[in-house]
Amino acid sequence: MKPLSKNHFLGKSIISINDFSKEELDFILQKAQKLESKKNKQELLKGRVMASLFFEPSTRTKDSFTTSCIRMGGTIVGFDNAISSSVKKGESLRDTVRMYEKYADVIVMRHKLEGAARLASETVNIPVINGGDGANQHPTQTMLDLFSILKTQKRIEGLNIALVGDLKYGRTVHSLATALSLYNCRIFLISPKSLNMPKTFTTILKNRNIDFSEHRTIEGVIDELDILYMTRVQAERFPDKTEYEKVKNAFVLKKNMLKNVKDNFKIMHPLPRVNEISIDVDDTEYAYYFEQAGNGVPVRQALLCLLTGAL
Amino acid sequence: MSKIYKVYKIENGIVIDHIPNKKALSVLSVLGLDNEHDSLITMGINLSSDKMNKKDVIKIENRDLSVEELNKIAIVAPNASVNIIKDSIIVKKFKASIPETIRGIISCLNPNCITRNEDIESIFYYDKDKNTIKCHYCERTFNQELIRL
Repeated sequence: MKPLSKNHFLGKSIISINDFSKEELDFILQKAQKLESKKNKQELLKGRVMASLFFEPSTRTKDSFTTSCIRMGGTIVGFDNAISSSVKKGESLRDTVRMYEKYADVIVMRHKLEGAARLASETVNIPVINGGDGANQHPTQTMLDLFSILKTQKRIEGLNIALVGDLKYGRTVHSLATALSLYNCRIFLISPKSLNMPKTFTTILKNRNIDFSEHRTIEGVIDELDILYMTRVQAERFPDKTEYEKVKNAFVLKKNMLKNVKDNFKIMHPLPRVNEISIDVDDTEYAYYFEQAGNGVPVRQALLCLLTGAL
Repeated sequence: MSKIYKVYKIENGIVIDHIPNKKALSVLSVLGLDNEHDSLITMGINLSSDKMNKKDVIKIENRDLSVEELNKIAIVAPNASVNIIKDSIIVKKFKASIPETIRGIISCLNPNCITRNEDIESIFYYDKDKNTIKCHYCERTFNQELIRL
């Protein structure tokens, strides 16, 4: 297969993980790896402007993009509170992004409505990066998750990976499962029965011949794993609170569960963590969730550079 | 013995038959003919049918519609058959089939979809094998039976 050209992503938008081939994901991960080890990258985005349009509140994603841009010499315009912008006055999404198209070289946006980033990308002629559109997509989270797996395991292909928690509503685990289905991993889906991974996503796994199984506890499989990807089981997802009380402890990771894990085992979490990982796990060699958040920077830097032609 | 037509015979135009009963108005809407000023349109609603028990029929006189346009009918009337008539002869007969891309006709069922909140044309992709439609914007997939205009 012909390798992707240097300018493959120039001017393109990053909207949904479903838009990417394995080859394209690998290309981005490779660029992020190179960029992470590159010295003197302070000037790469010099003279370029990133519009940061957060119609919905965000901490990690917004600040990760901000850090990524500032550390490469770029400038940021935009807002992080739609209430204080023209949106409150009734401006349409399309009008807002059309205006920022005149100011910036790339738009990073988060919006509560699903499909908002796709619409924005079809409205303007500059690249749009989806920083989350409702319950739909958050592709750069998936890319940093893949980057974290690659960084800790030196490969993605063939790993034993468990996705834990709210697999029914969790946007992060849906996108990650979709992306991992390109890498021939062995996938363990661990959740309460009422929060099983939806059929839409298990069908993707089946169609791509991915070996996967469903489980109700972490303990049954933890010793086989390379990666344990934790997410929170939220009480509000259970109409019957007694049901929540029955299952909640099965999805909390405690230090004493790590006695026989593999040496290369790592725990990931998209954060914020509430109580699904005990605090005493943080000091073990297996905890990787804060490094994982940090990995958002090289991945987002690679994207900003690739999309604007700075790399 | 000549056939007795409840909806009278036309010489030139389009006959859409085997429409599920009470769907004729939806078919006109899909074709954008619900505000038609020029063509003569006759409709039969709740006609007796051997195959369907009850069916609707629409006859549109002196009007050309492309096969692509006519295929949109299948979105609301999956088994409808289309006859194109010229000089009282059927020159083309086909069963409407849902197009792979459907623009602007269907409303997304997801209340959080951007198409429900901004004034834009909806776009759906039809998967014939699974009989599902997928929204281009919110990426949700729905069974074809759940489609609403």
